[in-house]
Amino acid sequence: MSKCKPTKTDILISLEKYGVSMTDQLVIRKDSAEYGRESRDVVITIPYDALRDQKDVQIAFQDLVTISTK
Amino acid sequence: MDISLLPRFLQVELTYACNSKCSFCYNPTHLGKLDEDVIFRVLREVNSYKLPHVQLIGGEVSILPNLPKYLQTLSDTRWRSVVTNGRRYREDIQGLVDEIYLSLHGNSEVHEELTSEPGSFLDIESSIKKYVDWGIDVNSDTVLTKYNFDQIYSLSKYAQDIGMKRLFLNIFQPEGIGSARRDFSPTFYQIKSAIDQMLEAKEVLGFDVIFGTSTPLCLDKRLLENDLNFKCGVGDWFASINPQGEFRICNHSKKSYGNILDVPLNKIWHSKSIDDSYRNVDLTGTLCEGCPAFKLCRGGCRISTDGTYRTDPIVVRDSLLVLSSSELKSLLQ
Repeated sequence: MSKCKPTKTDILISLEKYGVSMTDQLVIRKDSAEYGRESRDVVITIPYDALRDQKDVQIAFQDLVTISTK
Repeated sequence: MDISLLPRFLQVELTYACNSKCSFCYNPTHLGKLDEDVIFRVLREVNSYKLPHVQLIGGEVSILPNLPKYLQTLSDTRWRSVVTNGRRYREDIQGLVDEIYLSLHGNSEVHEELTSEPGSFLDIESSIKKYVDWGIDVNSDTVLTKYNFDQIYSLSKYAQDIGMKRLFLNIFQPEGIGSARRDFSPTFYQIKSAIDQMLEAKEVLGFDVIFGTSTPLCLDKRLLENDLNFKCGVGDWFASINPQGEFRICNHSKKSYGNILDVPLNKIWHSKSIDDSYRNVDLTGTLCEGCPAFKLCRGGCRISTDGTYRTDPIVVRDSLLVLSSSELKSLLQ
């Protein structure tokens, strides 16, 4: 597993008050090709309400995320 | 409808005042007083969203003495462009703008007939050459009418020869001042002729000519085959703000969904009233009902001057000539 550890930038830290979080996860692969191999994923969680309502969150993720209106 | 979190392309109309008198103009008037305080407040609000692209448009922006200051106010905006008729060259905006759109509408005779201003062709030619020398992208924002449909290839060649980057072709819509001149509307076959010339310009000249306003895919199969169409971005990634700060989802529409000086722009963008009146409209009973290309096409120009939802007027006019659902379906496969 990579030892490169991801860290939060100031922008991400400033969005924590809206429920935005970053989790560094250790994943054990279960697919047959790489069975048992460890890998690392970074999961960024954004509450839907923050995407819809919070200006700072919208600015930060405007190039990355779209939302459905229905 | 999937929408961007914030408008990716926002037009800010600084004024409706203009030094040309184009008969096809979609704006409501060629007159207007400028309220500097309001304009700066509008631009500061817009700037705070760090949008990908903000375009200053009029009326005519080059007649505004404070144009450089307006552009400076958008310092956090990632791409700044202006639309101008080129009658006044503005050296003082060099370095403040990433891209310039100039309204070139035909050869000198046709251009001046359409702008109703003798000498306007020489003015725009001179301005284009100077802006090109800045090293930024200079594009033509050309309105396609029945009076210039046969000049698209020659106009493309001319634009290329004087250093323009690409030509955006915007099919005339009889809105605003232009609503009195429905005769400007190109016929179905004139639009097809324009597409012939667009393809010829691409092939022979290697010049980029694309539609710059919404174009229904059912007008011509080559729109899909050659990736020429322009999907309407209204309410999806495009919006427009008038000189008073009123937020509309299209610059053809008078309907305001709120003033960004009273309600934050992001709240208006995500308002239920836009969802209900535009984004989630039921297509049942419209000519676009069941169209397999709708997601790609969005139905062409779908907003009336009063802001109500409509089927593209060209599709209504030429409903017997446009491609059928089955023809579109086979094109998509």
